[in-house]
Amino acid sequence: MINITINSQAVQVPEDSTILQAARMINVQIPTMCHIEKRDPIGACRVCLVEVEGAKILQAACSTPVSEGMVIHTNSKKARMARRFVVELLLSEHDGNCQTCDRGSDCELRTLGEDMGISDLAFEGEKIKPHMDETTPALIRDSAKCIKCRRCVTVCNEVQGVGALYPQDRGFDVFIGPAFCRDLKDVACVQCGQCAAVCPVGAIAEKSSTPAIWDAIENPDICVVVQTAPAIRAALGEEFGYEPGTRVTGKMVAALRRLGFDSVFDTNFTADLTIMEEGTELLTRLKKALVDKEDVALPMFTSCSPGWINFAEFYFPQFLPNISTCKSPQQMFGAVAKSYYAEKIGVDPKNMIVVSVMPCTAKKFEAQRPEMNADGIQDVDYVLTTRELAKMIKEANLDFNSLPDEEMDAPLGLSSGAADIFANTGGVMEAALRTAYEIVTGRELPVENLHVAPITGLDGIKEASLVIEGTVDDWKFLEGVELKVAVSHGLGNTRRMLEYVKANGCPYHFVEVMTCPGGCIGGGGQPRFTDDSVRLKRIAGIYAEDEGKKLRKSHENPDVQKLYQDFLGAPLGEKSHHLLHTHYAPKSQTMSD
Amino acid sequence: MVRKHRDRKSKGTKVFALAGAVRNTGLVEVPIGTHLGELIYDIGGGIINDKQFKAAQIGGPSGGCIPKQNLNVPLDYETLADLGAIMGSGGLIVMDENTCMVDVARFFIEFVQEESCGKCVPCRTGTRRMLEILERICAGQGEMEDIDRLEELGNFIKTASLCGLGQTAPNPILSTIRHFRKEYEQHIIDKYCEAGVCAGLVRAPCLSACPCGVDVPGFVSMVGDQRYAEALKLHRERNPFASVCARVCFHTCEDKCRRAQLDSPVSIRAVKRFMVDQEVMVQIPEVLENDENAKRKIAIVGAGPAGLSCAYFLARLGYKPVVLESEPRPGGMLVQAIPAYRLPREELAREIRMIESLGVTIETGQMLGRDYTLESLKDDGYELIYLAIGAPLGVDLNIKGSDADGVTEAMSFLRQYNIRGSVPVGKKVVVVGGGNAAIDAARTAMRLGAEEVTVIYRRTREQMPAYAEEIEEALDEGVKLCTLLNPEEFVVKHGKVTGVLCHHMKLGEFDRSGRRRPQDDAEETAEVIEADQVIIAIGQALNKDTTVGNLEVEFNDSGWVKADPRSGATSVPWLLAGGDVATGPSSVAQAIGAGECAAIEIDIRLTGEDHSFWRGYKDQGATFDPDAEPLAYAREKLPTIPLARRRHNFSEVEQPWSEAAALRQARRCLRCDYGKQPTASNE
Repeated sequence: MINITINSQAVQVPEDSTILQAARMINVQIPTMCHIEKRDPIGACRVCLVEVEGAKILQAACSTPVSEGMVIHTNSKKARMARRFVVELLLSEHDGNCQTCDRGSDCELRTLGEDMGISDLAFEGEKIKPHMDETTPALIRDSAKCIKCRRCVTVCNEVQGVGALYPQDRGFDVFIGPAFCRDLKDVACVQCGQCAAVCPVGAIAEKSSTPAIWDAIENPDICVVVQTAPAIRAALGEEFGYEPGTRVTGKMVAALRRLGFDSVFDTNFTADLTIMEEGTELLTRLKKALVDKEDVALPMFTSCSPGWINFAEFYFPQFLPNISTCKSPQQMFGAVAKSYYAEKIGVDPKNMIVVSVMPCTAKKFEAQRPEMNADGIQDVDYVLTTRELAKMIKEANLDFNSLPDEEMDAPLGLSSGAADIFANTGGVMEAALRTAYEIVTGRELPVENLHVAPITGLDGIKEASLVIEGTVDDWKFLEGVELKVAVSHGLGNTRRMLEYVKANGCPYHFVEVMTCPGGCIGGGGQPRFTDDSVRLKRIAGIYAEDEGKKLRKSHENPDVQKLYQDFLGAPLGEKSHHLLHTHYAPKSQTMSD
Repeated sequence: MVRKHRDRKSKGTKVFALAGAVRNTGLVEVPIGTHLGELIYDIGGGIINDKQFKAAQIGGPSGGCIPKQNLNVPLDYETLADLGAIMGSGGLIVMDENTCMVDVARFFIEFVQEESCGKCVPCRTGTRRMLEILERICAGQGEMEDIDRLEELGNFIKTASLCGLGQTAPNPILSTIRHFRKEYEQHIIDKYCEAGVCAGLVRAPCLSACPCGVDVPGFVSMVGDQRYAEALKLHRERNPFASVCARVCFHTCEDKCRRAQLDSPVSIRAVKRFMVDQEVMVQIPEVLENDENAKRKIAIVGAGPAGLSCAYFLARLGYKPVVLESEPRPGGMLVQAIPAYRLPREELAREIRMIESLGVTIETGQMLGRDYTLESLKDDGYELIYLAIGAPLGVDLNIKGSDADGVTEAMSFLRQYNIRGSVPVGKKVVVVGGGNAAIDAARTAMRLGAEEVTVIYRRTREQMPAYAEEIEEALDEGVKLCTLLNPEEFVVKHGKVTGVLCHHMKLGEFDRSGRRRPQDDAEETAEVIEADQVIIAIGQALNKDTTVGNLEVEFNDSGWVKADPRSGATSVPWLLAGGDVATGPSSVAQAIGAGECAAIEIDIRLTGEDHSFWRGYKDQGATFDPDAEPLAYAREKLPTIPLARRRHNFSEVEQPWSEAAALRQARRCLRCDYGKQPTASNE
């Protein structure tokens, strides 16, 4: 520990702290627009400038390590004026159409300007050269608004290991985008939207589907079905002033109903269905490997996360056979809704629109994949992010906070707690283990509160193993097998794991991959700004939702059982093969054309 | 050598890349602490074409500009940092008087902002904003606040940028503002680029260089078209003394002429001489008669070039000013100091008569402080008074023997001869000083029968303020020039001067004027130059008491009346001042320009509006083919009368060209102004 003084307050901080970290320890606020926690500081935005006694120039708090006896003034006139200059310069080159900007009052630049009391523009001059990139189904990049803070670059390269975004050119002409000034569709972007999640301004955002959805709702001939992903319920509230992790499931359902959706269902339902299919698929693969000695691809990877699918297609095509053939819960829902449910209510699937509310931008891409289309009918028509749903609620003038708690509609609204935890890292694995173990042994998963502790939390790569004992007759071949599983979240971690597997062989049977750090609760479509403290709160909310349910295991969901009885037959049966499973092919990393 | 400056903090040597307007360019390794002046003059061989050194950009594009006042600074890290520059790359770009410092700042920041990597905001956007502000200023669209903005922004970028590039990028701007703020102000307020560089402000560099704003390419090209009367009329739009200036102007226009980059400048003054010689009946310029203006009472004190120019322009606006002159003849220095062999009296008289004919009254023999005071004029009902009495007094050299018989002073010597027609002249005459007055006195003495005339000057010939051509002519006429010689005492016998005891001098360190300061050369022994007359020409002064009396007028540190160069405004609301009285001894053209500015200011004060119809650009439609090759004729000088015919008379030395020579020379003009319409200039 070393001694420093911040704004006349003496404080002891760990030796390896930066000024920014030290200040935060004693709740001294220093603004920053380029810093991302746990990543190396880049010192680009200069709004964290502070005055350090004895230093010739101002120091960037994010990148300056503290030293013994350092005396720091975060709010001296010099520091404040410098920060103000930075913001004034950014405003002078910024597009500046705040009235019509997607970010509105949640723009960090605008907020900083307001906080600094900047009421008129100090500098006039050339604006940033505009460029709109609307080439992907998921994301829009508006270069005129970009402040070149490079958070997106850090996230894309370091957190996600994708590397679709870089700074290009130099000086005033510098801009952030794919290499060689290409658009996103021309590079190996997985469309996870983490860039949009960290963008402090309106330069990267999801491509909106809202107008088409309003039109569908208005159209009396169309049955509009909405599904909501598990991660929404613990995050949507943030857009309305609730603490991160506050569960607003009931209010969300009420809001969706008032927006005019004809049926309000739950992606959780198909999460349970996914477990039935995917769990069965895993056991089948194990059987083929252990009993039939067939050459099946193991480990099996989960397939729920569309960013991960893109990532594998681009970067690790050799693992595509290992990915479960199950469609993601979003797509399964669309397929079931437009077959089973449409038939049930007597609606022509062509007159049914399925809208999903997702924490995710890659889901927008996934919905329009050619693979996701049974008998020429697109499973899911439109995808809204959590942020977009919040905007629709605001647009409809609903007082979200005073809405009553309502229940999802039947029959696609009932779900187990296992489905809820699909929202966070480790959740799909835990849900699968709860069901698979019980199928194989006839007994409940022997862990406390059904939680597989080693695969919870925010470590990048988590492992667990479980010796299977006391198997029932059908699964005797698994007796004594030590089932090894792994969980990764964040594609950077996933890349590390896959490189390890490539080099050293695979010690696992089953691997869960989620694209975004923390899983879907940290998705690219979630309310901004998501850091680890927010992730942990949302995860806590999700586990609470799980624990509050009577049904904790997917196979116990009676409506799922009924779906099999009435419509699908058995897991991995012919109908489910047709509706619920798919295959992926390698994609070139370079040009889409 | 390396140990020479070993007391310094930094030892060893430094390699500089000497470039720009210096004779010897290239890499030079010198001990740290070497003086800037030594590097430029001793190693670099001085400035190309003997132009004035203006500034050096040290340390590369993100270094800073150091002006001539600092030629004596040692080149070490600490000193350079204090001056706002850096050692940096060791780049050392020498710039001469033809460099615009605002343009230099713009150039360097343009370079640096392109080099910015674009990562941090201050460097990426801040340097671009600085460039944009500078581009505005260079285009004549700057505001005074822009200077503050540049300083604020520059200081911010220096302390807030991520790396050394941004932390030094504003140096050229901050250092040029610090040392050349006046140039920024000229660009912003006067829309004027003195160096003739900034395209938005400069139609042609000659025109920018003229203190009167005469449309030089206009009259030169019309002479080329043989439209002599029109050409002269155009000249007198901005300067009534065409004939005077054709003889005595210091022609900065030629110094800035772009033809010099090809071979040598157009002989603008000589073209003008031909042009004025074609005038038979003096032309009367356009006058706006105005009964209201005619009733206003305006007094002009001093009938020199400034006062008469002011009167001329006022008269053209319908005013009827009164000019008061202490001497019996109007003309100021033009008649009192400049000898007739340079400026025939009839030429001057003709142009003064032209001014009088516009309604100007000149009252001679009226001496300020004796016959009237500024306050008495005010009491007599004059609403505004323009003080333009010049710098009429000579300055004494206070050394032993100054009061001896035969020691005189150049101003009274010249005045006495020029006004009274005779002055005592010795056989052996020593003139002390290096300005135009010294040369005029020497050449006058020569003509009046002196057997030997020696000019002694304590610096070198290159440093003499007198015009080079005048020195040349003087030497041709037999005047002896002894430089690096300083009078220590006048040798006196029986109350009469018999010689000048002189010390030899050598050049020492650079002083704040950018010249090497002369200092005693101990190795040389003193010598006595025989003389029965000594004329001291070491400067001119003003008598405060007789000038302003009890009136409280602010003076500047050099002892001249403090007046706004743009308007002539002084600290007294009803008093304006201009010409030498405000600037100290300066050129005729500058005095004429100052008079015009004062006339405009007087009109504005009396009517609330600017009616200066003579300003502004008009295309003269002269013949010019932009695709043609420049004419290959070389520059020609005016012919002069033979030396033998110069003794004992004051006949004009310079003679006019033939028409063929004049046309040839006029057509050498490259027409830099062609097709240009500066947006913001006040030309």
